[in-house]
Amino acid sequence: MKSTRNRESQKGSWYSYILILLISPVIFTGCGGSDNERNAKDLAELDSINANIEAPTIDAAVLNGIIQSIPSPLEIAFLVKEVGGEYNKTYLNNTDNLHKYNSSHAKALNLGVYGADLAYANIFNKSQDGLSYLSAVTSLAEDLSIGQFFDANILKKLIKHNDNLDSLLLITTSNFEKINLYLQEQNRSQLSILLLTGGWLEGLNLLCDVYNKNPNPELKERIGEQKVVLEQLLQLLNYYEHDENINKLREQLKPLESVYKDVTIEIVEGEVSFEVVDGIMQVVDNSYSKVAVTDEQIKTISTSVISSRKSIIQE
Amino acid sequence: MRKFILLSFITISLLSFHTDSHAQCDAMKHKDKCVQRLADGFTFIKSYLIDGARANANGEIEYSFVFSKGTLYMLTIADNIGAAENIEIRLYDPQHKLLATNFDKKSGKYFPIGYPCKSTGVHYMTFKYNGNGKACGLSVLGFKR
Repeated sequence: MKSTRNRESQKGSWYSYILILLISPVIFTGCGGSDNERNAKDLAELDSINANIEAPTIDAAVLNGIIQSIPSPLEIAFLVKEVGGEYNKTYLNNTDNLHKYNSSHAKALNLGVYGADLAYANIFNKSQDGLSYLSAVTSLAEDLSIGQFFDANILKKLIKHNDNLDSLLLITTSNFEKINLYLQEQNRSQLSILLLTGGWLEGLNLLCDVYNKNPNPELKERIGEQKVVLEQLLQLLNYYEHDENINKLREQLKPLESVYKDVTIEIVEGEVSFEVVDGIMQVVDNSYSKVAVTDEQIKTISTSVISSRKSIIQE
Repeated sequence: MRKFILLSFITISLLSFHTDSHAQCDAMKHKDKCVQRLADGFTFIKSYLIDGARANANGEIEYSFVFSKGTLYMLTIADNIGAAENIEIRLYDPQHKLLATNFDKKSGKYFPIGYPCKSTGVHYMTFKYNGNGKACGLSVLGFKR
């Protein structure tokens, strides 16, 4: 009788053990899930723009893939310096405008704008302006709960000492990259898209400003080629067509979209080869692109950028 | 009963450890190595995590980027231990025509790719992990004007 009870008790223990094993992954993943949900909920409360948005119906990987393809305004800043453009603070968004950005939408857009301005000031070694833009960038990032990605002290030192541009650019670019990845992980990709749009528009405005002061065939071609980036951004913005603020931005970009429709980029095909030269696999591509953009179109692009940018920076 | 609780605890710990180790690819820690492998004068612009969990049916992970005419680009790699090997990159132009691979069949070695871009447009990169162990690595894109 006793041994039967023991056997039953042992059997009961094993049943409990198996039951715990079966439900433990559910408990563990379930706990993780509710933490994530809580986190997402907190962030959604911070984001007024999240309030009434329907999540896009496309695959997140596709969306994030397009986000990853958008170039950095850093390339434009380097180009501007290379073609001999002098540093001109009036091209940039004044940091006095910072207080005007009250919604998450405006903060994200102008984080992109000020990020591009920061890159421009840094490349020209303008420490004082660099520090002002760094302060604007960190302030907006903190408001968007992504301030943890900027180590302001390290960046301040690098800007002040002015002697290690490579490290400064590496750290700032990495910070923006981390922000974009984090926002995607947090299902806040729309903020990433706004940030990228703001940065791109500021870069294009810079190109147009420099071109208008000093017309240069290379700058003209680069302005025409921005059609490719605009198309990528429009794809991203279209995913959030139910978001009122993104729709508004989409409307603001319509004049640019309209003029770029008639800009053409033709690829002239050529032979491609690659071989190892001095430890690098060097590509020799004889294909090239030809951009057909008229002076009239450049003028329209320039005025459209000014108008869209004015709405964004609220000037 | 004590044995039972201990056994349950160990099993649960092992289960959660297994899930974590399987899910994470922490190749971002090799970013500095990748950046140092860029040739002099190149500026870092993007990093690409090569996580086997994201691979397609061919074992490749694809990324795209708008390359700009007149700019010189360079792609470097680091595998799961930080070595500049075991990751095959294939670079394609906007028409999906193969421009280059970083793997030299003759020497059996991997090299950074240097690409002087003459056609502005969305370019595509596929990354395939050819090493042993976990398919996890990093690639970095730099540019030079």
